[in-house]
Amino acid sequence: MDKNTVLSIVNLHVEVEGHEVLHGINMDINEGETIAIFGPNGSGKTTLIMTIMGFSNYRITKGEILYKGKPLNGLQPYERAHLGIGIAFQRPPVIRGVKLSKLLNIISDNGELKEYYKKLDFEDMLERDVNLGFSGGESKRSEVLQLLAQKPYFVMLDEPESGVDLENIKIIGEVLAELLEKDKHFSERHRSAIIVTHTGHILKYVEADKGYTIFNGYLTCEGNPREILAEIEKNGFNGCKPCTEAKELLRTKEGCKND
Amino acid sequence: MIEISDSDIEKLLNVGFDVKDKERIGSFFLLNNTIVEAKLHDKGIELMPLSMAVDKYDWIKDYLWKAVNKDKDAFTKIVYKKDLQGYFIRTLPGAKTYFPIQACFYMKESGMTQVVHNLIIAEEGSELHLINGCAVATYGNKGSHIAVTEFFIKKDAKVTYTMIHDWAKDVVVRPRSTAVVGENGVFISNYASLKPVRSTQSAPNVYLMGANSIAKLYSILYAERGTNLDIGGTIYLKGERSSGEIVSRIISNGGNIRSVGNLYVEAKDIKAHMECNGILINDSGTIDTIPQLIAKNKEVEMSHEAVVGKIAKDEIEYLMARGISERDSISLILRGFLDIKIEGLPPVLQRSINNAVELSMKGL
Repeated sequence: MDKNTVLSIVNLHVEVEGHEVLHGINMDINEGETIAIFGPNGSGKTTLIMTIMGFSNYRITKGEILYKGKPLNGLQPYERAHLGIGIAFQRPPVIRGVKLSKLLNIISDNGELKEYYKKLDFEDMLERDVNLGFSGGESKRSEVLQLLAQKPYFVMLDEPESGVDLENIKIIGEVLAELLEKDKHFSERHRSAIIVTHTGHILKYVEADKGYTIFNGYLTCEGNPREILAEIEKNGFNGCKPCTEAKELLRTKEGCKND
Repeated sequence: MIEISDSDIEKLLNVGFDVKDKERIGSFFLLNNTIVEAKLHDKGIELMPLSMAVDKYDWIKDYLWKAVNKDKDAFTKIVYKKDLQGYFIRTLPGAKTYFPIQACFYMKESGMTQVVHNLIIAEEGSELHLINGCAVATYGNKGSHIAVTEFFIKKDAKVTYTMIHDWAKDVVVRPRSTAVVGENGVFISNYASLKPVRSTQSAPNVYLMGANSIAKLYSILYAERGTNLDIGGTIYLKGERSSGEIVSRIISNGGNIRSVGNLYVEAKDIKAHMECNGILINDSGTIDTIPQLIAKNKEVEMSHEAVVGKIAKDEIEYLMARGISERDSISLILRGFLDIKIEGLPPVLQRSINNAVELSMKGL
């Protein structure tokens, strides 16, 4: 593990409701690095980040996740949040009777949120129940707002652009780029991120340093995110050629590089 | 002023009774079975012990026992036999209040039976907000509270009636209430029972007699082990274009809660809705909901929904992922669940209800 590796995933096997969904994932994410994970629906992308967050439905049967060199296994989601891990959900649940302003107030220890209310066009939404009747765009903006309140060191974004119109993707993307310090030189960035996406639209605004593809629970490709995306756009997820050819091999080996 | 300890003053405040009368236009205080206070700071309203009103106004007999049947059950019979210990409140035509009148039924003596009869008349075009706080002294444990409350809400009048209970684990409570509502009249009832009580059985009846009249019955209930709540309500929609709503939020943490709601429609162009949502925190309690819709006219729009279950794990973990501990996440969800926004209720009363919910969820 490099000395500036923030998150290290080692031979990770994860079961959901008795079925193994991830079959031995290996991945290192360095400080200040943003990685994009591509893959079709149901491939295991969300499972990976939900496991990192420590959700109880996701059971690690083998392997481990190290955060800043220490294993996360056994820690509750709130303990992981306290360590600096944060997540924006793809489909967040409704919390009836709890106003977004109240939740932000509980989780925020900084008073800098007001400027983002305006940026994210959320001033009129704060007194609504969390996620109740939110449109796709509103729900994503609310998730981003909660991340801004938390200011996590390690950010996980689950399909931040799904169900969102282009205008909202731009708004969300610009704020996320700011959160991830994209305006700074890469050597000065401290926040790291995993962006799970299957369209890649968000990457127009949030540059990723590295890309991976997860297919049927295996890490298939690793490389330049633009090249991977171009390949997916051209040939679909099956078209990640070097990996597809090696798929059988991959079932027993740890990964495949196409760069 | 009433002699009560500081801890009891706080207890009363928690059920919405402010001994300093802050943001209240009048106060009524029944200590055990003695009226110790009935004062008013507003014109256009009358507040006095019911017995006094009976002496003062001959026409009271046209109202007494006209909404509630004295032979309805054993408890109404007890009230009928007793002296008239309760309040008479009447808003004069067109009189509107912003702040509520507060009433307190307080049992200081352990093992006693408190018997109450209240009469509320809202004359045409008037508006009244009333908060009833019922409590037992901090050292008391046993007792019974039996009450009959009759409401007459006339044309264009509005009454909101908020009741917060904080009894004790061996107290038995039997309120019997009925409201009769005239044309364009509005009756809103909010009932919060969030503290231990051995048994409460309450099912107010509302008769919407006038056209365009409205009734809303809200219950916010929380029962720990040893608490048994049987809380329902019936709205009879007899006036054309009248509307009724019954909404319950129920949490059982080992206690037993039964919720029976009835919407009975006779007139046309009626809208009526019932909603009962329950959460069971552990396996030792029960929630039993029985919604009933009866329509005797085809020009109606009636619906009901009932959802009973445990706290959704995905909601708890969603909040935990924001750095909130499991315990605090559960508490936040439960408080949110009990948070009903009641239209037409003055903010001071909404605050009283919210405060009662906050207190009951503390230390869960």
